[in-house]
Amino acid sequence: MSLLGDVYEWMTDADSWRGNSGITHRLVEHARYTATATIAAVVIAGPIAAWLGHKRRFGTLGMNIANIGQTLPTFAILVLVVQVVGTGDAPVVGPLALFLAMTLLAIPPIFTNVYTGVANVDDAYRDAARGLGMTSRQQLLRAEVPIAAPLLVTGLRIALVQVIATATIGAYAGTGGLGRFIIDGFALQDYPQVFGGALLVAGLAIIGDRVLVAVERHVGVNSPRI
Amino acid sequence: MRRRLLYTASLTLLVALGAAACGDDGESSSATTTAAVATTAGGAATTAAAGATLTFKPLDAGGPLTKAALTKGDIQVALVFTSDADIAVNKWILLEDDKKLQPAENLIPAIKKTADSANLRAALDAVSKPLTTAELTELNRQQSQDKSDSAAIAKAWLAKNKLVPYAGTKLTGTLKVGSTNFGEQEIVAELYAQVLESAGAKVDRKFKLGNREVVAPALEKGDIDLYPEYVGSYTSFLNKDATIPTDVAAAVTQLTTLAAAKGVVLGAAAPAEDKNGFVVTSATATKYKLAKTSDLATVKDTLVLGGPPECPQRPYCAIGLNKTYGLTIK
Repeated sequence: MSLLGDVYEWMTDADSWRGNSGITHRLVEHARYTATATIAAVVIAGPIAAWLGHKRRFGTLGMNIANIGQTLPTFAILVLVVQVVGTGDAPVVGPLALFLAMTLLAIPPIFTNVYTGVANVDDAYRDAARGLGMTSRQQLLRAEVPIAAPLLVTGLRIALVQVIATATIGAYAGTGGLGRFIIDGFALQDYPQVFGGALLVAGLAIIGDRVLVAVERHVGVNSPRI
Repeated sequence: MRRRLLYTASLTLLVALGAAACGDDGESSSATTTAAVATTAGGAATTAAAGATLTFKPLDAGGPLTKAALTKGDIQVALVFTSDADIAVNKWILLEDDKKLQPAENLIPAIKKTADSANLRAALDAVSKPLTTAELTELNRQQSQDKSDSAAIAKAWLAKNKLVPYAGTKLTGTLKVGSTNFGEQEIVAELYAQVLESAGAKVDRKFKLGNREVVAPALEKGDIDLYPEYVGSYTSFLNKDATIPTDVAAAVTQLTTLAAAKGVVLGAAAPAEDKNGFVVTSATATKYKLAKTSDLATVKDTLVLGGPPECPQRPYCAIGLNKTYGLTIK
């Protein structure tokens, strides 16, 4: 039978979906790894980038630092981090090494977009906000962030899609997630499983992308027009 | 109003992501729980002969991830190569393969028939005889940890074992000694080369020629006269369908026939083997009194085994542990 036929058979076989190494479980694991790393990146990079954007200072420096996470090959980061923290699981986030590597990967697009978005808010709005008597903090949270909202979501979207795709390499360091199908399938020369796994990753990435595009449009329509 | 919509949208997203995050707890943490329960339950030292369970964690084939996981305690048993330098570096305990699961992989000199002589083999056999797996691991450690030069490592080892100056019958002529392209091979080839030099032969070193696919044909063609081989891997190379015995003598007998067809003769096999083996840290070995692979069956806790992703389907790994050692691998 053709490879595509075998892939179809693998994906439609109920046994492929069941149990601790089934597709359902792997999908949930994958979603968990990606979600936690992306949220962590937002929490770490978001406020700093927004504040620096508000001040319109240290943007280049900040972006260069943030970009370390993308300049180094994620695979190399993963192997290095494993040497330090091992392959164990942490509460909530799952495999710690993968979480750290994925967070590093998610930080650059979030930092860049938040900084650029906030820093490029039109001077007229900034002046108006100041004219209304807003404090510096209020200007940022009530004027600049809402105006820059679509760009902030764009950063989140880029980060999320990258992390969904890249979290597969965690399987090399013993994590769960959809990468297991790719790594294990390859090791066992079970190519339908490799392609099936790849399709699932692509599917998840597309869904994540579409959802955030919808959010982007929504916040775009509902935020003040420039 | 607009702001409220924005908040609602982002909140929905966060909740969705959060739900995914808390969705499950992963397999290894549940394994830890099982282990904890087993510890409390199995305090009394009544020895169960079989039925011990190991959880499998897919990592790499004796590579950096498996070793890091063992060092960090994420796994307790690791599948690595028996002569790996890190076994000596970290003082890990290589569990004896007492039920003979792994096919023989002893080091053996492969010699081009036209270059062969009884005196040449006597010199090579003198090197092979004292070369055990522990000795080989130590030589590998000197190379990878101390960064010593393979010629210097070989020189010191030969002197220690009183093989140089060579006491046997002298040799004449030039011999081309080859090796494949990894560290252990270069050390062993250097051992051969220096003994042969001490025996009076002129040695032309052709090391790091490539992998077996390059070096084996080079020997057959006579581009080199000899190089260090491994019984099992060489057998598979010459006949990929061959079943490799775990007994060295039987494996060598089979290989001798296969090699003869290619105009290659073999020296005596060294005790040293570079094959798959299970290691534990010395702390784990002490805690559970482990020295042999079969001792794993007496462990009450659920230990975690780290190895290559294909382990569950391979006879040298999970399948063998189950069939030969009666262990359950989950």
